[in-house]
Amino acid sequence: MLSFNSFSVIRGEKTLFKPLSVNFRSGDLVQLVGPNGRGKTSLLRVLAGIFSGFEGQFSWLDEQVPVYLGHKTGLHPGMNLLENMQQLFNLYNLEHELIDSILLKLGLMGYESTPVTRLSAGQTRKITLAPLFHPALHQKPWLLDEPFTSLDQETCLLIEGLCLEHAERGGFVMMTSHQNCLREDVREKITLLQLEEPEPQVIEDYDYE
Amino acid sequence: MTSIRNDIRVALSREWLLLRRQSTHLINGFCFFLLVGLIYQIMLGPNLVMPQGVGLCVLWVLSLLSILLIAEGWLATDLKSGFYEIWLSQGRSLWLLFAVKLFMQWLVIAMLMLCFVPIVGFQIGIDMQYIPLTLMAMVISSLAMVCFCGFGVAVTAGQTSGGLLTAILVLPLNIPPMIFGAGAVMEQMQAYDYWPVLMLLTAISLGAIMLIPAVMGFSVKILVE
Repeated sequence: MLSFNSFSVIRGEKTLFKPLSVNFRSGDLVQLVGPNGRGKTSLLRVLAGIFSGFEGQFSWLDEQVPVYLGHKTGLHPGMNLLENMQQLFNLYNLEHELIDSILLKLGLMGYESTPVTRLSAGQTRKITLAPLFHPALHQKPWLLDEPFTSLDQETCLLIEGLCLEHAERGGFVMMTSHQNCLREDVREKITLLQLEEPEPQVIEDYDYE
Repeated sequence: MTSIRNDIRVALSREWLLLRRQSTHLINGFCFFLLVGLIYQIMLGPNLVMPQGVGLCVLWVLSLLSILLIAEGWLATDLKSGFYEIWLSQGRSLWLLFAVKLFMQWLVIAMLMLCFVPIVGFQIGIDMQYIPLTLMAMVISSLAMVCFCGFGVAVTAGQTSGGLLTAILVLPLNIPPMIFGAGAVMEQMQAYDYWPVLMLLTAISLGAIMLIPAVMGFSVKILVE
């Protein structure tokens, strides 16, 4: 699904981690871990095609365009929740029919006409994660940068379940998170990619204890 | 990768929505245009008749300043919110997004000018027989002015003193469309053929709408990185 060959991320003159060579398969659920500033977000941005600071090579199977959800929300403060969600769905070429059912799943029903500036950080985060519920994105690789930030426990469990289902369908998920996943079955599925000194390391069966 | 038609459809839907939601920027710009135009004549008083050529220059300077006022918020919000990151991550072209943005902004600005230019033009002493050509030249030159203001906003986006930098960058660029815009009407006032000047103005505007979105896209891509 995703191959790295002597790959490293560069910021200015600085190489953020030693060259990485690894292949990830369809069905992998990869969590990037490492201290702040080690290049986790930059790595995802390179894979998403919005940052070109890297050395070496990487390639997606079938040249797929991944779904990238970054730190920033992409929501416009001048629009309400529903308008923002429709615009987000347009960006990913998704039909709008499922918006209502997704709003219901995320507990956002009733807030459709609320300006996003009046929503909480968690509710705003939920809007950015909403496209992941659409079946049209179940064929694409997901790149999620800190997806659990500001979310309540119930939604964290929901998103973890969504990532697990995606991986089990043969999809691919790569995410950064400073917190361990809550669900045991998700933790068992996760492959850790540690961007730490002396060199990046892939750990398939991490012992969370 | 997405198709060009799809990119245009998505950009059009978003820009149309933003134009409706952020109409205060447009209202502010055109209130400024109308008020300064009216106050200018009041300040001169009833006994002083301003030459028509001076009135034309005032009209064009006012329209440039109004467009600058409107342009201030074109990119900042989307840059801050991370919208361009998502747009780029889906293999979409920033060039198309900005081409659509500039074109839509110009359409609305041109329509408002059709309403306000006759009022202000009449106030500052432009003879009614010159108003149709003034409108035509203003609409054509405003396309170039919108593009050059967009260029200034894109190059200075993310800077703390972006407003001042934008003005410094944009003012020299806008001199040709302003000169040729007002110049076409002055040619008519002197009973000369104004079409060559109008054609030159059209060429500048078309060149701007073809080139500037690409420059804006390049500039914003660097900022996003």
